[in-house]
Amino acid sequence: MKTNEKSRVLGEVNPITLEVVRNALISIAEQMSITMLKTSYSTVIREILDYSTAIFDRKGRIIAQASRIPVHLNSMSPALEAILAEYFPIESWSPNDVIMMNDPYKGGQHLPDIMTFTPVFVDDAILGIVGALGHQLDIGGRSAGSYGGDVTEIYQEGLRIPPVKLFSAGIPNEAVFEIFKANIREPVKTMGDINAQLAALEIGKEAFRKLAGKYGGDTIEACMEALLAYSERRMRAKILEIPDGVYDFEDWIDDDGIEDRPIRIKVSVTVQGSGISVDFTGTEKQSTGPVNAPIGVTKSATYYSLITIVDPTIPPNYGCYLPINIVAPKGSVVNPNPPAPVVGRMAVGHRIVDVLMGAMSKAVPNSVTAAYYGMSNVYAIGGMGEEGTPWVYFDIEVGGWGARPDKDGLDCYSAGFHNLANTPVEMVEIGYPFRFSAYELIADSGGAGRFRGGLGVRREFALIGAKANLTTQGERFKFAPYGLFGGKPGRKGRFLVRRGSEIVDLTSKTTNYVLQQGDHFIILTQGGGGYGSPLERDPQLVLEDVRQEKVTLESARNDYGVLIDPDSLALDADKTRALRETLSRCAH
Amino acid sequence: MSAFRVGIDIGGTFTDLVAVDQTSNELVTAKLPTTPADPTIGFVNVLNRFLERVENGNGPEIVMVVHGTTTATNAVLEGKLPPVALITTKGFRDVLEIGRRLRKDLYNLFIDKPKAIVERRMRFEIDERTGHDGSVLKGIDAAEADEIFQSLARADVSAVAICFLNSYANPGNEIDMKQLLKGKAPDLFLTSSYEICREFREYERASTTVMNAALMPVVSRYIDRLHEAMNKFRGRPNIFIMQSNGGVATVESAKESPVNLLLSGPAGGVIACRYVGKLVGRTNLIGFDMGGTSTDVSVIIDGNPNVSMEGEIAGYPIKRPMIEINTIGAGGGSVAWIDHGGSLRVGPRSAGADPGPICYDKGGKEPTVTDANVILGRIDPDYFLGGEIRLRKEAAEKLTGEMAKSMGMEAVVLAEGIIRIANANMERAIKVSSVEKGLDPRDFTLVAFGGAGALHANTLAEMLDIPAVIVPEVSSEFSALGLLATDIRHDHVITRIVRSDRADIAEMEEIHAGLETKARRQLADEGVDPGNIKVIKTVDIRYVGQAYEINIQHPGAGSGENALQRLVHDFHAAHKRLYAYSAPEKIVELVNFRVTGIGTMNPIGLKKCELTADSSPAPALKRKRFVYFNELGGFHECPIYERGLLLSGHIVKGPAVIEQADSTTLVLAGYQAFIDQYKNLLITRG
Repeated sequence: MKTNEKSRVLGEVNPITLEVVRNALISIAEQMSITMLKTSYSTVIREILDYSTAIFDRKGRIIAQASRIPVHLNSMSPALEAILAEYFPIESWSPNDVIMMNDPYKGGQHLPDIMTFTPVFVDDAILGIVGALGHQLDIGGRSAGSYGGDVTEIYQEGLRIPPVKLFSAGIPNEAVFEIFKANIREPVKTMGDINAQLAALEIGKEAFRKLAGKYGGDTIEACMEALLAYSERRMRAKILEIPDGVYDFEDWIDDDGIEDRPIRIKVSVTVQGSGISVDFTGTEKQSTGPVNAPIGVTKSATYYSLITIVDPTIPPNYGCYLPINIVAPKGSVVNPNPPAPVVGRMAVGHRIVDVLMGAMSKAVPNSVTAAYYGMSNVYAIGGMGEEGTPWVYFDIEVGGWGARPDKDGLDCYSAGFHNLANTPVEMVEIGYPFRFSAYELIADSGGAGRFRGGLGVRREFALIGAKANLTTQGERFKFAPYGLFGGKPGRKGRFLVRRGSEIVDLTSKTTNYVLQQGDHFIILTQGGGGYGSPLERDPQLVLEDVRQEKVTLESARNDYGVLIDPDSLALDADKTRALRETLSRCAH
Repeated sequence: MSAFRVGIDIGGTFTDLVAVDQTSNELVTAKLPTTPADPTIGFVNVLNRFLERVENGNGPEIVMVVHGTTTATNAVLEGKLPPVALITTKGFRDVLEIGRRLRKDLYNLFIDKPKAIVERRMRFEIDERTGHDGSVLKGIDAAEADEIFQSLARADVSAVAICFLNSYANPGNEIDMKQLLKGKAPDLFLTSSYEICREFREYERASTTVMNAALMPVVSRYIDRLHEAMNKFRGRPNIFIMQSNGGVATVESAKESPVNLLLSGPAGGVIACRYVGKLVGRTNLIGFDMGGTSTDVSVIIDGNPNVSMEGEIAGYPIKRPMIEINTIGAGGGSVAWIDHGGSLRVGPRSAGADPGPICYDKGGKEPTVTDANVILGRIDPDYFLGGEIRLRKEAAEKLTGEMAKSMGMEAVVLAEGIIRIANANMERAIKVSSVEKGLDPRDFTLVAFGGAGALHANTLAEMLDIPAVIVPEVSSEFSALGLLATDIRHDHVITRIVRSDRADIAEMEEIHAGLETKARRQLADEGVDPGNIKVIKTVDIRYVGQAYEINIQHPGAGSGENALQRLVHDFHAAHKRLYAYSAPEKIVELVNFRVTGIGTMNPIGLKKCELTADSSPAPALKRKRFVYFNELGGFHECPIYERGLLLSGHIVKGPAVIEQADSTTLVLAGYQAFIDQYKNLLITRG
């Protein structure tokens, strides 16, 4: 058989060719990424960059990825494997087919995340698959941006698309397009983004074919096998260096947006030899509200965390997953059964990263950070435009990084298994009826520690148009990002609405709150946790934070035991020493 | 009397000069050490050296000097920018620090983000506001502005940047603020965002603006010193400065917009590559510029360098057009050292010009790549810079030997290891620009230049399977030659969003006309003859709803409705070409109106020689010497040729060394160097 012959070539790949092909595949994924960015319509893709592109072999294994969003990238293989196994076996794909799906219960993320795949044919055989995933601005459902915080079934979250052929041999499946357009709030922008996704596939496919034309399909296939084997080998070698043992940790989600009670996420990590087993037994059963993480998210969060902790320099691909075994109990928030709602899956997803980081801090304390802001703080605002067409503004805000073993956490910077840019204020003001009044760091929001957690941010804007509906997905409003080894937790998040002189504290998961003209919406994001005791922080670093107005004089004194003269901003070294001795005695 | 145009390129180690005789097209070169404490000293030294060299009865006339400088770049890369303040809209002082908050390295928990150029306490807020439509919602309050001025006066800052929200739509408030400050402190270095980058996206605009402000004192001081020095030369020749966009600027423009100089140093080399490629009919080139402290790699595809509308330096976005160049901190002066794990490492620290490599005998104690090349017999210690600097081989051997001993090896083995590691670093740099962009080095010609480029090029070509290497005649001063092969070039831009279906043709033409007037006036002020002014009008266009545009050239001839239709038509075609689809039924938006003003300079010519009938290089053979060749297992007695005596048509078979005053070319066994009609060495297998 042809396939067997090809795999026999494996050992014969020329190392320079392998390196060229590896970089060329990454470069194709990057080219697809740029195509999608530059041709997209909604701010979700073109400014926030909530999309990913990657290249797979014919078995659906991810080989190369553009540097975009780990949560997407590490979920696309499981999804593609499900499509190949249950819907469209590889033999049934024709040239110029495009397969589309968003079903969280078939390996997807949540309904707004639409995955598309197209095969790459070389000499009448499929050599590989290129894929693109885009977060669509709106996929219908109960609220603008499809982010209903109070939904109880996936049916309320919007249009659910099982794996379907959007194009069959290049012919568009018009019925799917029509159903799709009829169910979404902003068809023009969304269709623009779908076209961008299709353009990325087209560019990727052609570039991949060109590469195969140059080196031959057999060589490319051998290279793909070699790349997977290489990453797996390196991953295993590094895991061997981690002390064998069982490491537990647990953390909590504030609530599911419907029932006011916390949700436990528990993990037990077993490191043995060159493998790692991750067991979520003991995690709460699936929730009524939409914070459930479908298995694709759980896998993705786990793969991300372990690649990061084990060795971030390993080329990330399917080979990195092979040493990792995941146990996620069915019917829990980390592996829910349908029709549980999932749109707010990032709540549990981020917390999976937190518990893995916490567990591994017991094994490799110098390879982890304290907890970061821990949530994609999502807000979607929808209204009706002057011409009677609905509009949706969707955005995500981040906060501070957890402090690190050897340095502070970064202030307001994308962390964890997502990676999203902000939307420029000038861009939002051009497109939507808002006027911004602040985008600034929040002093004292980073957890105190020998190394300080990163600062959260305040983003504030007023609605200057007619009334609009606000929906949010926040977290860590009740359970702060934890510190490590004596570091203090970071500050919790808040969403506020200011109407005249009145200030309303919103719950983290608010649905369809009506904003009136003139209302200010204020987002206060979480700071990161500290690392090590704040009394051990170099007083000069505290002084510098005070000079830069990132830490107040009060916090310097109370949290760090550092005394600074308010007028001259000079450090009082003697009094600081004395105060720190007292504070440290009290602590014991 | 001869009249010359002179290019001077100051690198980390050497200051290079190339002069072209306007009538005969003869080239004259000169090279002297860079003087890092005050680079203008080296500038003057090398000019004097040139004058000595060509001095005759009447004395030569210097028509103009074009200068490539790393002053701006080094200030950024070495973290030596002076303290700067920023005045911005109330509530938004952290825009500069938050940035776009996106990480490039997805899996690494230990990354850093670039430190904001203006520290937080030096970012002042003023309660002003302009809407996205350009309406002024709140003007500048003079009392509040004065308070800020008082704070600025107390603070220790060298320059001030002004960047307000939505100022691209209406710079009125920025202008008011600027005038208030200018009124109080006329000599203050001041940049407003609308002057340097009138485009939307507040972070990128602010980043470009503060970078410009921070560079103003650095570049102004430098240029003023140059000016003063030029007074000593007859006729006080005009100076022009190379910019990142591959064109040159007058000193006045350079002082106002120093952010345009971030690639001033390496841009000359890229332009020179393009020039020589065109002469010899090769359009796909990898430029490999290996100097003493750094190496620049660039790529030319189909005869043109890639120019992007924005770039990045040290993690800071700069929204100005610039050539794409990849720089690494490794060169001939890179120092060899032993790391914690006991492994041999080379660079990124460089011995620079001072103290320089051990063999310079100026106090250098650590072996460098150059020392290793001397030990291996590749560089003749008595013929370095044509014998101007006598290298002390025995000193290099002694100290390298001591280091080698501590590692339990011979000096020669260590020297060979240093070269091997340096080459691996270079190989990686070339890969970043080629392989990592999906370009196969096998489709390119390597153009080797800079002081050390020719020594390493053949080996790198072998490592990367690059089929041909060109070593230009003025290989060592090639970047300086490029300075003379370009025009004056200024880019102007305004963001004004116009839909194609609601376009006011008259308004659009007015925007372009306004920019064109500005461009023509600037060039005229710079003394460019109106007949030599060219203007290129372009528009960045996108589909309504998209956020990224494609730069489309304005048809120029034909105007009004026709021009618009043509622009839109060309946009659809470009979108199809770049992104595989277009939507001709959709409405497009014109976003950024751009005008590039070009002041053409007289093109230089290189002399084309006849090929000799006899390809034997024997007349240029100087002698034989023992030189270390890996592929031959050690020292091998090989012929040494004098480059100046080689004629077009000669073929030098490797292993061989070709020497010229300021650079040495190594030809490996199994390769040959053909001297083409422009006196380039073309090295291929043979």
